Amino acid sequence: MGFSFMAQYRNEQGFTLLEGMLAAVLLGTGLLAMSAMQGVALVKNVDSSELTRITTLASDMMERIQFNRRNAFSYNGIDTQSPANCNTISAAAQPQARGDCLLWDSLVDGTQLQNVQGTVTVSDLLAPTVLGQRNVTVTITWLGSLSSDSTVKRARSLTIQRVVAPE
Amino acid sequence: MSVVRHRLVLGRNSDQAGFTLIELMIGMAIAVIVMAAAFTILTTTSKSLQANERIVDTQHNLRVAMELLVRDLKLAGFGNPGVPIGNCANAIVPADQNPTGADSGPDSVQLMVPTTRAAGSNRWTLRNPTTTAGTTQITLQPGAVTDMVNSGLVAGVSYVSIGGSATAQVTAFDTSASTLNVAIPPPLWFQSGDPIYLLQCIRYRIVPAPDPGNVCGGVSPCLTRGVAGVVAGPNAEAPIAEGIEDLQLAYGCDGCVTAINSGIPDRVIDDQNGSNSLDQADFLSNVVWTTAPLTPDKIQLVQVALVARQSRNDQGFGETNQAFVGSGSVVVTGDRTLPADSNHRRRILVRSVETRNVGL
Repeated sequence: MGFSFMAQYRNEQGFTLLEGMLAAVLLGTGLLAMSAMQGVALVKNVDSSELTRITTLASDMMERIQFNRRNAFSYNGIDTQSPANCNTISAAAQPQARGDCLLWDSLVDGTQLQNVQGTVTVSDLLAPTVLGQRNVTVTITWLGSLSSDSTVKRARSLTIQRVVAPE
Repeated sequence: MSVVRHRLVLGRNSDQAGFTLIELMIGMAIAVIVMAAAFTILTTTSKSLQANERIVDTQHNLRVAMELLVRDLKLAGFGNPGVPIGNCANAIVPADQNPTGADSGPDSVQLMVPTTRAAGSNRWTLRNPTTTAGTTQITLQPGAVTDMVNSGLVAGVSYVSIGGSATAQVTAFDTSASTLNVAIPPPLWFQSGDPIYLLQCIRYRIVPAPDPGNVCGGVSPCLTRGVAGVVAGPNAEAPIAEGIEDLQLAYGCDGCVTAINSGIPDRVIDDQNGSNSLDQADFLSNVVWTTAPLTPDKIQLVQVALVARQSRNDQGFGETNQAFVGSGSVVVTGDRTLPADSNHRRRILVRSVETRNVGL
């Protein structure tokens, strides 16, 4: 009976508390989503900045190897997180490779990104070996900034590959 | 009946009863709180969007500047005829801001680079093949020679590289027939469609703020690229990236120390400081590069450092338009120390480039 009464006088009733609360919840959800969107945009921005720096860093090493292409294999095994990094490269026989390794090591550490690690792998001679071509891979891994939807930092990595030939 | 029920429900005497003052005040208070929350989110969003856009632009400008500069450094000296092109007596003409000590401003550099137009009906390519060796006249696409003249082609002065393999001086040209008179060395001939490159001396420099000549188009500092001093035409000095605050170049030289391998290049950057190892000090900044053995044709590696900043002041998130973040510390690139700047965020990129065509 109360219900039929409500129906009869509905157009004089205004919003119910339930309706008002629902509207508030919807509004709140929308606003929260908007804030979350800002977070995503900022995180992506930091991501792109990191990627630019890392790409430049990897290109830097690639360019150094390209200059010293006759001794490309000396760069094999460079690992900026290894304590003995660069010590395996002979200072007397490979001054350029050793210097490049030390300078790059400090550049990689200088990014101050978390757990940043730069490695260089140089393959054995590619067939036909008479061309002296080697596959050079520069990889940098690091922990990215916070992801917007989780508290786990994402492991990120960048790899540049190029075939280097002596001349 | 209905009136009675109505009274029962509303507890009031009239159908016309609105809100009570208390109800109205509570409702308004709630509305104000909701509106304030929404408005706060709106302004914060708008400000962070603005800040975000400025950072994105900064990063983008820096990337573009580095990309263009590195590309031209790699090309510098391509097709070098061995005679000066404009201001470029060599493939690279470094200009340290202060060769006698620490810099107080950005460096600049001039590069002898091939320029071409690869697309369009007036692209700079051969229209007809040169079927016999020893051809003295080449025909380009219609309009190409006119375009080249606008870009700075001068008969008896300019050099072109044909197909990337022959460099020759342009002794005469005909814009209506789109022909160039050049002496191609005898064994070479070319296909139609082979590209023609006009060698030019391109300068990269930073126009610092304030910019009285309005070179940057209102937003200084900026990085400009173009033939030094030219103010009109396709190769005029024009801004290519705004907000670039600093350019520092250091050069690794091979064959500049006569004591090492008798001054003959050995594909190891010279040990300038006698440390018996390759270190940062072996990359030279304070050098004029005009006196042997320190000459630009021996430059083998170039370290490029670029600093970009927001092209407009940061406004922060507060109500007072005060920056809350910026570059709080000094930035050291090459031999210049940039003071801290609390109004602009900065981004820095450093990388090495091998000069592929310099010593050739």
